[in-house]
Amino acid sequence: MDLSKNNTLQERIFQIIASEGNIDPSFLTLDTNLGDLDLSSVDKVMMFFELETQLQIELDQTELHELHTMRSLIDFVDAAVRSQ
Amino acid sequence: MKRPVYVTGIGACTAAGIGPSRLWDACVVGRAFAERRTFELPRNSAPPISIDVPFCHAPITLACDDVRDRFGKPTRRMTPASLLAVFAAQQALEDAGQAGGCERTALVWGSGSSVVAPIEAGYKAMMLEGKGRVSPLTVADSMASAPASAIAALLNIQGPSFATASACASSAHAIAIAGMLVASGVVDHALAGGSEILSDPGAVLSWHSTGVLAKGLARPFHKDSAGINLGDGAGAIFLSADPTGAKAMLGTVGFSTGAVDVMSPHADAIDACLANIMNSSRSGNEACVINCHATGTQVGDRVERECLARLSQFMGTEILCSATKGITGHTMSASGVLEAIIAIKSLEKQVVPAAFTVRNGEWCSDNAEVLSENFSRIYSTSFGFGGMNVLLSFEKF
Repeated sequence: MDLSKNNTLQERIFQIIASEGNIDPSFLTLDTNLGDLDLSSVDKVMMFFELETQLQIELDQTELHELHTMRSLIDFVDAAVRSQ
Repeated sequence: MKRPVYVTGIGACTAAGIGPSRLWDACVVGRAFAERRTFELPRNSAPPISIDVPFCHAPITLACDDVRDRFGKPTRRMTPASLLAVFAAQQALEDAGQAGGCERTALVWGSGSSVVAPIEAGYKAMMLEGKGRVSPLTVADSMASAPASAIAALLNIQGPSFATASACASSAHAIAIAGMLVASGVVDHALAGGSEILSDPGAVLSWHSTGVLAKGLARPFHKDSAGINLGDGAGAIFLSADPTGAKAMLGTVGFSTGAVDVMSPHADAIDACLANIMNSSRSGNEACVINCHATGTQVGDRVERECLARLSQFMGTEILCSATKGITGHTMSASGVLEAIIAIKSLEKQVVPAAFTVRNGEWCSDNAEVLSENFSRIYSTSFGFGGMNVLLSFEKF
C-alpha cells in the first residue's frame, strides 16, 4: 500500500485509534506495535466499532489478531475500504 | 463455622449530599430533598412526553467526576451507574481503613433498574439520532452485575463478587448474604451495598405509569401519605470478622417471600419476616426500634402499619418505627443499604429519626418525631416488589 497517496484514510485511522485508545496521537507511527498501546478489550471493541461506523465498512474480526502494527492495521482497513 | 460480623466502614451518596454524616444530619433535621422537576422523553414526530414530579437528586456528577479523577483511564467508558457505585464503595473502604485493598474480601452489590439506561440510550441513538448501530458496550453496561464489576475492577476485590436483584430489597439482600459469607468463614471481609440512578426520563415515566408517585412530598406512614418520591443514591457497608474500629455488629438477618402478588405487599410474608424480631434475643423491656421500609404508598403503608401493629401486640413492647424515605426519596435498589446506614447511625447516636410509636397494637402518633431512646439493637426492613422481604439487624457490642 502506498501510504503517501492515502493520507486521509491513514489520518482518520490514527485519529480513531488515538481517540478510542486514549493515546497521545504524536506517539503513533506506522511502526507502532499495537501490543505496546496498553489497550483493554473494551478499547479494541470500540476501535473496531468506530472504524466500521466512521468508514462505513465491515471488518472481519477473525483477522484482527493477525494485526501487530499500525501499518498492518491500516493495510487491513484500506483493503476493506477498497472492497466496498 | 459461625463468627461475629462487624460493620467497620460506611459510605453514601444521596440527595442529602456526600457521606453518611450528611444523610444522618438530614434525617435528624427532617429535611425532605424532593424538588419538582420536568422529565422529558423526546419523540420523532410528536412533542416530547413530559412528566413533572418531585424528585430527590443526588450529586451524581460530582461523584462520577471524583471517581474519574481518582482512577483515570479505566473509568472513561464506565456508566454513571457504575461510577456512582464505585464512589460509595470507595468511601466505605476508606472509612474501614482498607483503602489500599484487602485480601479475602467478597463483594455483593444490589442492582436495580438503572442498568437498563444503556439499552434506552441505544434505542434513542438509533430511533432519534439516526445512528445505524448501538454501542457494542451496551451488553456489558446493561448487565445487572455491571456496577459490581466496576467496583471489583477499580478497588481490586478478588474474592467472590456478584449482584443481588430483588427490587427495593436488593441491597438489603446484599448485606445479608455478604454477612453470611463473612460469618461462615468463606471470606474475612465483604463490601456490600447498592446504587440507583432513577433520574432518567425512561425510569421516571415507567414509575409514573404505576400510579404510585406522589404529586407533592412523600410522607411515609402519615395517614395522608399519597405516594412515593423517587431518588438517586448509593450506599456501601464494609463488613469484617475483625472488630477493629467497628461501628456496630451485624445481628439477626431474616428473609421471606410473599409469592402471591408482584406489586402489592403480602401481609403474611411481612409478618413472617418480622417474626425474626420476636425470635431474636431481646434486652429486657427496651423499645424495639425498626427503620421501616415505609415507602409512602397507600397500599404498602397500610399493610406495613397493620403488620407492625400486630407485632407490637405479640411482643408486648413499644415499637419505634422510623420512616426515612420522605427525606432521601425511594432509591430502590440502594434503599436497603442507605436505611441500614441510617439504622447504624441511629444506634450509635441513640436517636430515632422520623419515628412513629406503636404500642399494644395502636399507632400512637400521627406525625413523625425525632426520639431519644436507649436501645442496644436496631432492625431495618426492606420489602421488594415480588414480595421479596429482608430483615437486617445491627447491635451494639
